[in-house]
Amino acid sequence: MSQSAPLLAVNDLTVTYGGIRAVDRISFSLNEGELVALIGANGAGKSSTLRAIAGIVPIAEGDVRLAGESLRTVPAHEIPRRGLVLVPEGRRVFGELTVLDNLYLGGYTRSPEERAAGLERVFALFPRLKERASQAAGTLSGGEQQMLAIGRALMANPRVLLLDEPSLGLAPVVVEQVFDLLRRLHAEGVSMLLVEQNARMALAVADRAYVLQTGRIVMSGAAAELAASDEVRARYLGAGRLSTVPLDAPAPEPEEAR
Amino acid sequence: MTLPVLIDQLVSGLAIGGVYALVALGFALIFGVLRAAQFAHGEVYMVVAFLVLAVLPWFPALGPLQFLLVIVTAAIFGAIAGMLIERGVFRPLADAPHIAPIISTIGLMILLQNLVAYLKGSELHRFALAWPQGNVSVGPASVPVLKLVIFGTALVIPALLQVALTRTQLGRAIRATAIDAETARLMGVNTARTSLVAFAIGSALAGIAGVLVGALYGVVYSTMGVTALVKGYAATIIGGVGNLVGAVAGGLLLGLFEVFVASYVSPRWTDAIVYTLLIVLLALRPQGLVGRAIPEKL
Repeated sequence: MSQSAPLLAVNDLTVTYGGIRAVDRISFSLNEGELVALIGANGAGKSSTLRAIAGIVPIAEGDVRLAGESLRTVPAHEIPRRGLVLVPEGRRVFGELTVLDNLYLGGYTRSPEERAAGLERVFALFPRLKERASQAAGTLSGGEQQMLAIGRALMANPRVLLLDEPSLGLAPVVVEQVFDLLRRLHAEGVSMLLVEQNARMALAVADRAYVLQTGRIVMSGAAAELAASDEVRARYLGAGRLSTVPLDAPAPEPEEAR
Repeated sequence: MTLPVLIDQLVSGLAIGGVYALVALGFALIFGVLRAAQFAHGEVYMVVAFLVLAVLPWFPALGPLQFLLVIVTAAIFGAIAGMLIERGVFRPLADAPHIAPIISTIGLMILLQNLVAYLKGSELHRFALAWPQGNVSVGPASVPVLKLVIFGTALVIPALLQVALTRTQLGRAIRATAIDAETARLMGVNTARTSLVAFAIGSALAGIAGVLVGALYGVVYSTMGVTALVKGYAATIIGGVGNLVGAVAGGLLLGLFEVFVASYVSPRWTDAIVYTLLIVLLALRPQGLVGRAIPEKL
């Protein structure tokens, strides 16, 4: 972990939807090579935070800095060029396009040589995608689509990768594969900000984590410490007696084997 | 029915069908990316035909080369008209309810028709290329070269477009914008620009169709866009909305069908029969003849 300015710094970020503060003055940081998790219940503001960083929803107040430079006024389509890419919730692959077209679009901001190198890297990481390169992305299984969504983001060779609920809607065995992949990317030194409702899995792979509740950060620290804390265990990991679980505890993970 | 007559009708049907195909392709491309019907699409076709007619006297009489020059000029005029309409009419209404651009383009349609009628008169204007095309033998028949050239143009241009859309990064970006604009932005695609480019290409196709039909019938007039829009729209529906290959196939089918109905039933009944069948087709196969079921995003 470097002692200099963090790679990604979020300061007093506020996101509003028609006057409602979905994200309320939150601050956190991601250092080079780190995997940081944002956990919290449904509606806590995790997705809004990622979408604001990626420029898809406007930043109402506060700032986001990537390697010291503000992203606040940078349009969404310029942000991948700066080195930050979001893997959106629900995978959002271009279903009617081929796997290869999807990957080429992921490298849209890169030169043809960089795209060729990126393609080699992604195919080495996901041999399955190479086998299915000419197939329409919509015909892939849910797990394969998630791999494609991550591979597509890696095509931009990002300095920071944002992942929004990568395990959502996947069968448990596929969820394991996704988290194995995150471990592997982490070992390769990819800096990642991970949003997950599956707090147990997220805390198992992350270095540090922040806990969001109704748009605010209520806890933060090393992932292992958070995973051991009684409050996190009770609220987000489903441990402890049922009576101590508050009403806004997360709903059970949806499991849809596709 | 003799073979020469049949061949002649086939060629005529493919020529006018090719024009419908280009109009339909442009309409479908714009609809796919902007998710809005461009009701003034036929007026782009009409205005470009008039503009080309206005500059035609300055074109050198180079025979076939003049024809090529006319096509390129029409494409450029069409692209410019399309970009003006995208910027002036569609962009300001991007966040407005879906009905807004429909009303606006219907207004634009009426405005352009009346403007041209006011400036140039509402009569037929002769549109003649300085290119004595003559006839050519196709089997036992002798058919006008022009019809074959029009059909050829209407095949080559969609083929080029297909290659551009599938083999280039800009083409992939246009298709990605049509499928999911937000995710395209996350990939670094400037979707405002891809929309503009798609609009320019679609309108260039309308412009080309306008001069082709002018050359085919030898006349242009201020309300010619109405028929073009209706036929192009019908071709789009036959092919399946949002399906570019289907739009071309739909246009050719419609052209052939019209010519055969006109010869074997009656020219007076052509439109009535065509549209009746269209209504039946829509009821039985809402996804079009060629298309698969339309995804919910349409």
